[in-house]
Amino acid sequence: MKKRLKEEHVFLALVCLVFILGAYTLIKNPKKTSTVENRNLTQFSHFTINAFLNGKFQDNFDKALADQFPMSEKIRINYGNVVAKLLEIVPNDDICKNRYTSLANDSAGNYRLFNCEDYIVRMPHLPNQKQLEVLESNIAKFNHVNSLIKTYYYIINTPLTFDFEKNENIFDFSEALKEKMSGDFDVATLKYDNFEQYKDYFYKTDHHWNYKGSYQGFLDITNMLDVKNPSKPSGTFSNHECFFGTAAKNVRRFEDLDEFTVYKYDIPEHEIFINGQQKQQYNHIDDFISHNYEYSQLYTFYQNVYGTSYGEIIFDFHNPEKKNLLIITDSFGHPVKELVAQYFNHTHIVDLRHYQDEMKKPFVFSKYINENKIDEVLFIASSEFFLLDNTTTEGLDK
Amino acid sequence: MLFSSLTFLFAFLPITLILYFLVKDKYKNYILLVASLIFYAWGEPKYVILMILSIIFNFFIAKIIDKKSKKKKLQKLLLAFVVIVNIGALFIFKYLDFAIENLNVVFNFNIQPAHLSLPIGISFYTFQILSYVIDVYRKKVKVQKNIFTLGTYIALFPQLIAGPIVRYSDVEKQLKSRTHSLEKFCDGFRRFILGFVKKVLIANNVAIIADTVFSDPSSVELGPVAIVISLLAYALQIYYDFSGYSDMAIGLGKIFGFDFDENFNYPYSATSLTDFWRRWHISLTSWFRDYVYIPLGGNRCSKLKWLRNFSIVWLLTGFWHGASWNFVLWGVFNMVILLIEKQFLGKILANIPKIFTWISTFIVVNIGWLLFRANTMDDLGLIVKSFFYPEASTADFLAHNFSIVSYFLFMILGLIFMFPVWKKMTEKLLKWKFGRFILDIILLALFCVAICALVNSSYNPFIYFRF
Repeated sequence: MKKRLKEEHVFLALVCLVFILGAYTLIKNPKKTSTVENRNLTQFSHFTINAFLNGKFQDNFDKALADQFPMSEKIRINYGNVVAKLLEIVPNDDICKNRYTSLANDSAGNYRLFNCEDYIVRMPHLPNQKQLEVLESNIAKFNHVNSLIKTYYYIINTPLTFDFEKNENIFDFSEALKEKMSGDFDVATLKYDNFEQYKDYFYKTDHHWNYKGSYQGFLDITNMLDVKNPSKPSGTFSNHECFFGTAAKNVRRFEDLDEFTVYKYDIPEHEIFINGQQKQQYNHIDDFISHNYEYSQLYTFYQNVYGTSYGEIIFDFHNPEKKNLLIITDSFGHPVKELVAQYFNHTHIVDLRHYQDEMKKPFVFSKYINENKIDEVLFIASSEFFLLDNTTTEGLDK
Repeated sequence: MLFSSLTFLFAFLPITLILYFLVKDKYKNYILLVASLIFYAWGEPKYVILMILSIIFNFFIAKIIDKKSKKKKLQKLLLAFVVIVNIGALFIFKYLDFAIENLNVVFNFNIQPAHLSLPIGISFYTFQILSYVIDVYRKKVKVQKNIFTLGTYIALFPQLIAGPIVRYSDVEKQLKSRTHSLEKFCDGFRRFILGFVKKVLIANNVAIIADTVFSDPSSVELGPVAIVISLLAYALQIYYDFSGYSDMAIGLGKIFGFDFDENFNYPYSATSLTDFWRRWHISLTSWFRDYVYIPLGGNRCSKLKWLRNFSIVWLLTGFWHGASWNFVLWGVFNMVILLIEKQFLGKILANIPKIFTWISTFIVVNIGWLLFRANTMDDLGLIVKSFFYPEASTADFLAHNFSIVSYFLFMILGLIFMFPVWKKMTEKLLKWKFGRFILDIILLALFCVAICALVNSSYNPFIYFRF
């Protein structure tokens, strides 16, 4: 009996120890940032009846508790390492071959991420039946667009359809579009023929194109739009190894930072409207060049330097003799939209993922081009924008 | 709030425990009631009002039923009324949209669905409330005169949102007075940790394998091996999830001085479907037996009536699990197999070596889970079709979903511990001098790993990946 009591006391003491660790989370000074994960940590918020009734207080409390938990960063890193070790069970001969080394899967199940000579890339695969159906439904919407107005499509091929092992594009979007689209349209793509070229155009730790890739994109687009003598960069500015891309975050490669470089361009004066509000600037390239940015460590360079996604942006260059352009784009459009806009009178940039939420109305393509006297339409998007999702193309068929 | 959340572990539970053990015995139920309402309101801030109304309504109706014991007809009417109101509330929140959807299809109506969100745990607490009112009517239990005590029973957080379905008759005395001891407290904690580990480490991880196929079968190219792996993963997920939750509930009950009945008894070691249902979600099957099957006449009636009673119970069991035809189909599937077993198969199975009856039972149960898990009948059709006409080879499936390989380890652990391995290991260890200490260290180590998994799960950068 005495022995049992002693055992229970020991057990209780150990349990209490675990709970004291948790209680410490609630009373310690909250940490603001995670330098290892390169992100802001969730803070405990004040209780309000409204926040409690809509569940926001509870959600925030759960997240803050996890973020502020003692040694939470170490726990995440080590957990990531264990998962990576477990993935090594996968027979590399069949799946990874020589160039690819397995890293992780994204939890949404959309992509398999591989380490390919220190670049984190998605494993190439042919679109499955469902993706092909989405593509078909998107093409029907694009055909509606083409039937109303002259349209240009610029597609950035991502590693999802390029096999670096064989150095071949396993699914050519531009060909699929050309084959199935009708009406007045042109298609161009950011092409790369091998892994060396890919490395030149893309980041190691992020899925976006870098300054060289986006400049090549700009040249391809202006060529397609028949622009003579497109702008040339007046300088290159680099802040070495400061960028921590989302692919690195995905696979928890917290120690990997990417080089972030921008080209400086001289763009004529123009007015900027974001979601209907006039703004002084869209991007922060000048701030980057002058090292004048607020959160140097946590800066999400790609979207903060080049400008982020909004429902609607309008660049007005006051060139009434020129045409009006509508650009429909995803995040790949950030570095090039202002550059392209300088060759037009006013350019409307719509991100269909945000339009309805931010503009408080649905996007209706025919109405939009009539109301804004749009002369031409340009799509700039990664191949996945065309392939994986048809909710973001809602409104194009109306 | 979920037991398997950091908020529950490190905020709600410690505060509730401290307050509960600080106050005198006569105030303990009040602490439990307030804590339970906060626990519920954390996840369902608006529906906590529904629960409070339900407590008030059932408290007074039960009192009236008890008072009118001499007026049998009125008593019966009141009982019918209370059953209709409780089942009606369950119907509105759980089955209304399903009914509208089917009416629209059958009669070509155009009724708009209500889109009401389902109050968490409504199926469980409705059955608990009914057990109380029916037992008061049957004079099996005394009417509860203290509304806070009845509220404590109905809202008691350990078993509020996922059972086991605790009957009022089982805890009537404990609600009035219960014993607390260090031994009971520690045993409760051990049981809670065991359930927590089952849920966080096994159920959550094998769920990733199961979801690869079941979350959207049309988005993956399937073959028979992929389907079998995912189905097995789902069988483990539902067992470890549900039995883990029951373990946590039973453990928490012990911590607060209650003794709840067992809800699972190694169901996957069953050697017939009849045996399986004696071991799976015991509190639900016994509830249906005592409050539906027996009142309808049970098996002490003509064969035709028995068949009717049996069918009603299994249709209701199917429906209780969800408002969808696949749950009804699952109920019918179980009913048919059980009928076959009762008629002749049972006798044959009794003469066959256990290993074969175990395998056949496990296969039948898994076929049942396929009906249970499929999101829609279309998904079910697609999975069945892909099983016989494969869309992809096993190698292709694994190549496209290679990360599930890392979760196979949890599947193997799940397969081992679905048998009474842990129980036997514990019994053996406890015979040693330091057995309990070693066992406690193992449990606490697993507890820490599970907490780490919870901390890790909050890291989710993927939603930003496409932007």
